[in-house]
Amino acid sequence: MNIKRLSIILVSLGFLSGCAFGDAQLDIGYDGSKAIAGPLSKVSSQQILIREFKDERPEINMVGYKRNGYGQHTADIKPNKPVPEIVKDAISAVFIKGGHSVAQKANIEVSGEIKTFWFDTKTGFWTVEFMGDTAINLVVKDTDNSNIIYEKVYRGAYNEKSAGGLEKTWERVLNGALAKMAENISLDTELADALKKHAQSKLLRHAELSAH
Amino acid sequence: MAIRLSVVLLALIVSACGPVHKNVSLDAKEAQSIHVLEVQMHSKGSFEVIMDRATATAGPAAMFGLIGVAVASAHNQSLDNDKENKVSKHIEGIEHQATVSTGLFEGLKQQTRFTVVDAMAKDNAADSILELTIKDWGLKVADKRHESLVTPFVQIECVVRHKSGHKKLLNLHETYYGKNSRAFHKYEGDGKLLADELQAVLHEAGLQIGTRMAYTLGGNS
Repeated sequence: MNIKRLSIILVSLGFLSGCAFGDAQLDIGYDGSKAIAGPLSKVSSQQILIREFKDERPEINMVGYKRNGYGQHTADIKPNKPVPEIVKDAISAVFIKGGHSVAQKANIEVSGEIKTFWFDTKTGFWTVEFMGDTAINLVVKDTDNSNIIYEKVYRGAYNEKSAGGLEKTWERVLNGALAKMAENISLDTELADALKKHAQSKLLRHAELSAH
Repeated sequence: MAIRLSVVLLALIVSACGPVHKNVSLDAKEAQSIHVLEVQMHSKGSFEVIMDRATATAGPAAMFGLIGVAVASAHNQSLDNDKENKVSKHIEGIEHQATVSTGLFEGLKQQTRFTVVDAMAKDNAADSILELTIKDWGLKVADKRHESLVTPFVQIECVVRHKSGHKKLLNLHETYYGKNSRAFHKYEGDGKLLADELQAVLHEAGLQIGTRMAYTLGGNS
């Protein structure tokens, strides 16, 4: 292999892998205007307290690694704001789109843990696969007695395969994974059913107490 | 000559940065034009274990060029094939297409604006077609930092178009993952666990697509 050929391969790998050793910062967030008013919109309007999600990821200050062509970690990819804040905003947008209010004084509390919030790449010979993966454990509780109404792990994955891409692509992919996770919550019929059932039982209990 | 070719290829790589698949969202006005939707289910992929292929790097390409890629790729494919063979008996009873279809119809039932008909119903009055294609499904490394863990997955392409035209009103390429990631040997040793988790992700994927259609096409929101 001559020097010129080696240089071309190295430059190509540099382009494909993002090329820099400096940290990158991505603008991550869920666009609430794109939220789907799914089955949650069929639940009577609730006051919901969204608590900060516990970040259980091993590296809470970053959302991905910059990697070279060999897959080695060369620098960090960081979010513009803490991941728990990003997740809280996304969950709030989902419930608001479903016709509910986010408030401090509420009858329902939403909390949970962040399991995954990660961007990664896989470099092939011709293309690079960009992979975004998000996962949370969502816990919905009755604020009166702290009973769990519903609990589920939601995951959002978004991949793109293209010839190359830098920060804007990474941002789009991780935001795509976040949007997918938010959409999974919006479209969860079991969550909506659990909230409906809870609202009905509350109404029934209230009626019983009033009768006494 | 080889260097010129490399420069052209490099220019192509840098300039052609668009994603291979592009999702198309449905326009609200176009959604209103759907009255009878025919559902067509297809399955193009097969059960796959994507573990060694998922964790492969571009190292062989850099070191040995195309031949290196071909050898490494064949080796990784063979390792994944061995894993598929080890769990193939566990998935014999899974009707993946029927499971996705059940979830899809459950989701679509949540709306009443348009009628849903099965493609098997002859001479139906469908004006639009929902074509759902199951690509790959099986077990895959979902998180590159945990390369020893695999997650049940299904990759689906969903296209909605008018029966009379080819324009895609909606085009989704989605990969749905299960809730749990486990070591491969865990699934290998517990066939019921594997079958249950695969069926759960297949059903959930169908249900989500159906619910999404119901609330975006169906005017249920």
